[in-house]
Amino acid sequence: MRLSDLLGSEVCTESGEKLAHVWDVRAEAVDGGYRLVGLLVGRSALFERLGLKGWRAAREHGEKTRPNVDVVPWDAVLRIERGLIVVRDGTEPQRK
Amino acid sequence: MKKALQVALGIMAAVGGFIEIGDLVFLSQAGALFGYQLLWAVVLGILGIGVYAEMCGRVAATSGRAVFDLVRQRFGFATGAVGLLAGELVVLLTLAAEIGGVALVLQLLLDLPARLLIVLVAIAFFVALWAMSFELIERVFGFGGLALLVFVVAALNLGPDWGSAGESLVPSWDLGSGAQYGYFAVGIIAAMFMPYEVYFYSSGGIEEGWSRPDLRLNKVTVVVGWGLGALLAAAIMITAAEVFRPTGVEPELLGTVALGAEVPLGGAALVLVLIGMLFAIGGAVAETALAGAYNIAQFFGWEWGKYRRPRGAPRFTMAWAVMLLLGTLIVVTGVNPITVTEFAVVFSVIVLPISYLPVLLVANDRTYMGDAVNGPLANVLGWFYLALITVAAIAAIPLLIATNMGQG
Amino acid sequence: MADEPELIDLAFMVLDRQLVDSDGRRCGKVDDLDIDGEPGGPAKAVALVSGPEAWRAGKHGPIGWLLARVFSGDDTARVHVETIDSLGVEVRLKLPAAALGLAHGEDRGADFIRPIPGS
Repeated sequence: MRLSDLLGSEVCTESGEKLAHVWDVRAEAVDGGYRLVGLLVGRSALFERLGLKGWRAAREHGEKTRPNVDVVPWDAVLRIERGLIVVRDGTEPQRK
Repeated sequence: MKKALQVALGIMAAVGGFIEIGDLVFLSQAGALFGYQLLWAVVLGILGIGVYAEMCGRVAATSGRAVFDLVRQRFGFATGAVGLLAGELVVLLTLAAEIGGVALVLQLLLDLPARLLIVLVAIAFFVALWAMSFELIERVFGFGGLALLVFVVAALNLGPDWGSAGESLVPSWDLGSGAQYGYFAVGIIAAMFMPYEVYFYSSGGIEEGWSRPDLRLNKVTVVVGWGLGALLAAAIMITAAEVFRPTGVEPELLGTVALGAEVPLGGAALVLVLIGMLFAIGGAVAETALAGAYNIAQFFGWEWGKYRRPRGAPRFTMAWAVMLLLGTLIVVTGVNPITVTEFAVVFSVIVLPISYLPVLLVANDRTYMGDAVNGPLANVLGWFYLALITVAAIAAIPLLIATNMGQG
Repeated sequence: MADEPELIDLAFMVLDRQLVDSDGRRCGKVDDLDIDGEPGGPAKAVALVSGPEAWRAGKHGPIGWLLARVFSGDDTARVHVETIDSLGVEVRLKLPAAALGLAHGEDRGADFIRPIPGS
């Protein structure tokens, strides 16, 4: 699959509860690649990616990740169905 | 000393941005219609674009990224591509108008047919952009345009009402003046914010090889370059106010604008003005052609830069050549260059927020900037002006319609 | 002391970034990332994708599709993540562009320009 398949997609639970939109994907550097660990989610993929909300935090942060974001863990993802990312029931975005 | 000459980059960027053919007439009209009343728009505009130009230069020097790179980076491909198309359209229209403008000035000096002059101008610029180094381009057009400083001499010579001028530095809106006043206010500020100024300036900084030690040079270049641009804009408005307003003349032609300097100072001043216009408008040709190529190359990730030599950056080179060709085709149809720039300015107002927001966000991002992130002053001014240009963007079309393109 | 895992946000740090080869030459942008694995199991981003094919993907919008047609003569390259030398403001690669199948379109352009004097 491609990164662009994930970006902008809506996340919802198995029972159909809509959670948020994916605007970035967090990964961990490992041998041979980057292992996906989480999906960064928010109300609007475009505005989150733009970085308007967290602009002040970005002044201090300076790492390869964005500060103060909501993350859905990758291992909560079950499947992708017609452009929707389906996660286990009870999954809540965690503030990281 | 050599580094100090790099202020030419700022002068060329600014003068090519808002002392080009459209503005020469627009500023003159503003003076003829409203006297000094719109001087505050020049002051308000210059502070804002100065803040953003400094940010763009700082981003270029610390991260090696020019503005259009950042547009794709922050907005993503899809939105960035829309921004690219809109930006290129504005740049192309402006380029066409400026080619026409250079031909107009040459007509005043040489009395040859317009279409022939347009083609000759296009060929001359193709050769110039191909053969001249970036440094030479910025110095020739930057310093050459300073011949327009004769307008400052003219303004002083006319003995303006300094008290009135001073009062006009404060924003005011005489409700009686109505929509036309608003149209001119928005137009003056919008022209100073034309995005190709910062596309050109930030790419120019990278052409010059700027890095962290050049942060101070960047500030000096912005202050000198845009400061001189503002001085010229004010001088043109003041001379028009003194020369045209009393007689009710509304300048519509480039030749009329030049009279603003000739009336107080005589024939020699006229020649100087025409030479200055040649370099200022010519600078706008070079600036827009190159900015158009910088944008495309920076969006797609192609190699770019005059410093690479034509075959070292082949698609970039072909891009500016194609832009010159298309611009020439547009203006050789006989369309009025001044009308074309008015359209370009109004259209660009609508895309202004998309052009400047990524700059402000990146300038605040420590991952790009390290400790050269924006200080509190840059942020207060940056957000204020972003709000201002967003308001202008919303007001532009209604004002355009209400005033029938500034006719009142 | 255990090593801190190095975390990275892929759209932020990798996607749409400038690719620069080992000779310092700009050679395209990161247009997409190839991910090995499926949702529901472990997944790993293993390669960068650069070229018009990548713009066809729906998320790039109708303009992406149009540009993919305009530049359909260009190659689309897949660059393995291990070829990345460093990730920062740009993505620096360990090999020259030609070795990775990048910037072919520019090479063709250079051939076109070369005969003109002063190129």
